[in-house]
Amino acid sequence: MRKIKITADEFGKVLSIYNDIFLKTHFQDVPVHHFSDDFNNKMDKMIKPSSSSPRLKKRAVIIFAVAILIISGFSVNIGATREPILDFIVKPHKECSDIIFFEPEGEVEPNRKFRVGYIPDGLVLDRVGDKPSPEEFMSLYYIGENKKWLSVKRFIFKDCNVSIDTEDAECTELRMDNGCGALVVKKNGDVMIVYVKGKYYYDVCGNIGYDEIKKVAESMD
Amino acid sequence: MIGIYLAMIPEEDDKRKFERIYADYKDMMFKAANVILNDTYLSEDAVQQAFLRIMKQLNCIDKIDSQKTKNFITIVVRNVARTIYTLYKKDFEHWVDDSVLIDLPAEYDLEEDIIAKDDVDFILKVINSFPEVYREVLILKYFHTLKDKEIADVLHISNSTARKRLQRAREMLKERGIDVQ
Repeated sequence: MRKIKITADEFGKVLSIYNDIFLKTHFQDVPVHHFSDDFNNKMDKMIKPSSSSPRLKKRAVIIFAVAILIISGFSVNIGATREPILDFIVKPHKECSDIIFFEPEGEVEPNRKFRVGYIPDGLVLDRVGDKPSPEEFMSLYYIGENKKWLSVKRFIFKDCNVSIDTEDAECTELRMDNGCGALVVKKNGDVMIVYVKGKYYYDVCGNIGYDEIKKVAESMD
Repeated sequence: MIGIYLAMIPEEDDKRKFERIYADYKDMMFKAANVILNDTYLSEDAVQQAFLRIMKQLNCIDKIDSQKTKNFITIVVRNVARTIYTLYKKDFEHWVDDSVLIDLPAEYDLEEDIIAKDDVDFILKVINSFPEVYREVLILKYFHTLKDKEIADVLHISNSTARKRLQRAREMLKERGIDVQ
């Protein structure tokens, strides 16, 4: 049998010859066909939309741009609410609980002052603890009538494993608008909320009741 | 705004290209379809469907007034016509489409002496004897140098079907002693 080895390019050229012969054979003289009105109408519709397509295209681009802006806006919001959400695990023990936070990423903003937006009436600032870098530890201690007290602490969160005193206490998961962490309620009425927000660890505790402690915790910025 | 402006230019080019193809080739397309369908209404339908396909494959067409474009359009319209034929004329089960077969001339233009004329004659005879479904995939692949996916889009078949047809066509060539490398 005849054997021919041919490259793809050469084969394409042979097909080109075949094509020329084919077209000369079948389409040398093509009579004019009078297409039906139905055909002409359909083809007009097919061609006409493309003539107005630049305007449609411009509209589509504008709609697309607006959609991108809206989506971008949503993305910013999502980022803002996602930031403080950190997973953690509470391991209850008899005397204490290990709260395991996932270590935050990125650099810590140095010397960032924190503000407590809400302090219950009747409490006055008694002591301030301030230890600059590297921990940037800050502590505010408030006292009031009937031996009421409130302690607010904040420092840079480095250790992902925090041990807290949970003797005679109940420790549960707590999620708030501005962070997540744990709620510790002691039998003597003391309430402690610990949570991580961004690069910082916050600790709010006192004997002013859960609702007030929560308000204080949520007001910190 | 520059982005919008740039985006509009190819659209305008495509529009002009499509209008020219319509003006230049609609009669030829009708003839190509009517050879298979032998029915004015169905042939016009085939032409219209073929234009819809061509509209989506304008990137496969470079120079409008060329044998290559003429061939491409013929392949599309014949493919559509064959599909319509199988849909509407199932009664003709034993119909054999030999309308596309050509009488090979003794002389033809051979641009370069790429391979021996005897070999070219032989290959042309072999291609001419192939069923059209295999001939058209070979032409689209090697003459129009389309990718498998583009072939599938032009012929309205799945990618795997296009690949299988190409593979079968190459096997048929090999069975006849033609090894395309």
